[in-house]
Amino acid sequence: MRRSKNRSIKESPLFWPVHWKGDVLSVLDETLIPRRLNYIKVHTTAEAVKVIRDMKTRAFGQFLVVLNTFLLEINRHKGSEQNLVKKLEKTARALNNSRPTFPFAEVTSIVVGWARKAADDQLNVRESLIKNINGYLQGIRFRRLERVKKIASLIKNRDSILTHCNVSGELAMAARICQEEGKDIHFFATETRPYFQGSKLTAWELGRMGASVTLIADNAVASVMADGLVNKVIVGSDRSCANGDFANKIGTYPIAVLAKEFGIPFYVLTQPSNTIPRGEDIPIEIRQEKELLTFNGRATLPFKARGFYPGFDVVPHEFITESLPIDVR
Amino acid sequence: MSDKLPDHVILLQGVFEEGFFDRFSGQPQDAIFILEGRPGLTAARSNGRALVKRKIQPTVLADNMAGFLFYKKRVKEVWMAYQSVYPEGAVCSIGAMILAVLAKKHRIAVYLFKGRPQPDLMAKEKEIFSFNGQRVSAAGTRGYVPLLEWVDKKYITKIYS
Repeated sequence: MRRSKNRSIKESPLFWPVHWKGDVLSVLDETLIPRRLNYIKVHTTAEAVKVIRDMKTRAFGQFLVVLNTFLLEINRHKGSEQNLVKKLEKTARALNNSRPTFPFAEVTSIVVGWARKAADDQLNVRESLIKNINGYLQGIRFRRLERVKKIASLIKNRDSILTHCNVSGELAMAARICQEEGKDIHFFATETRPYFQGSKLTAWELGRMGASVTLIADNAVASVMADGLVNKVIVGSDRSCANGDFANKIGTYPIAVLAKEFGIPFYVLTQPSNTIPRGEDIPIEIRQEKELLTFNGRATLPFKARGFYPGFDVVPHEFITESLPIDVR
Repeated sequence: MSDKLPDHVILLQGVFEEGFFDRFSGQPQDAIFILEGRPGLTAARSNGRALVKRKIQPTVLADNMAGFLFYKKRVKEVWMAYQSVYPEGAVCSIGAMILAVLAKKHRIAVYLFKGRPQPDLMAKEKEIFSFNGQRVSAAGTRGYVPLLEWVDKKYITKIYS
């Protein structure tokens, strides 16, 4: 059964995890999935920074929080247009510093640039920004939906795909399209320690979309490749470099190296950027060791240990078979 | 641990016999990194206890984090526990092949030592559904939990039997 071109794609909650409820920003708390779907109310920039820093939202969700925080501050602002520009510059600085690996500054600088230009051109800054930000978000949404279709066309009948961490809904939605097209496919999702995005988010949303998915420990990735259980790898990315290198959740680099070793094509969803020249230049967030050594409030090991928790891996571009980009600039 | 990584990390993977750890006297304390060993964290528990008993505090990594150390060129050697050896290679704990391939790519030596007996090839799938007593996956999820894997001799520098 072929899918109609005009038929809408069923969305995963992770695809667009930030919404407005009146004047309050509602952010999907990804740490509670799969137990329940709960949204955190965000009223201020400080609260927005907290949901990002505490990883209540991550990946694309962070990007949405960043953009919508400007709308939040615009709605709250009671003072002059000049003071609005200053407030938004302050908002940008706070968001830029929330997580070092992510290129929030590339997005916040666009918004601040719009604000300054509107002020310089003596336009209504508030109205101009609301129009620009909403238009930008609509554009991103459209491009992501187009990429979902592209992912679906990349996946062939009888493919078995390995994925890591979570790509914010796109893979699950592509899986749905494949299912509607009658393709018989399967996914292996790594659990993705220490936060278990694979277990909690990816396996959950793929299952919700009716996809066939099997969860594996991070240490089993070589085994499934060596045994011929997967024939494709599709991952997301958190940051891209001018030369095509990218950063993604810790654990991605070994998967890329293994895929090359076993001759398995490796695909990555990217957001191109020229800000950073090469992978070695990406600042890698090192998170607190307690996030690795405790879980659910309890120590994972019965002795005092040190832990080391780099949040991201860098993958050199030579390991990539094909990138599927969305330009957010 | 601070962001500063030691320059010459020794990576331990798999569950080693108790006596194996006597060789670490004299090693810098901050250079020994052990992998967790999902699903049960058996490797970290067993190896960590043996090291702490010898007043060595290891640094723990999740099973997916070793690649970062290779990328940053901080790995000096990889030591892995084996179950059985053959002319063509060895059967090791799951996760060994990841390190073997990374080591080959980065030209790092891989040494195999006898590990504690691990008779099971696979764990029950429910072992992957929980962590530290809490369910992490949705109901109805399927799991695949191999506990051992083959490492071809081309990845192995030396086997200490």
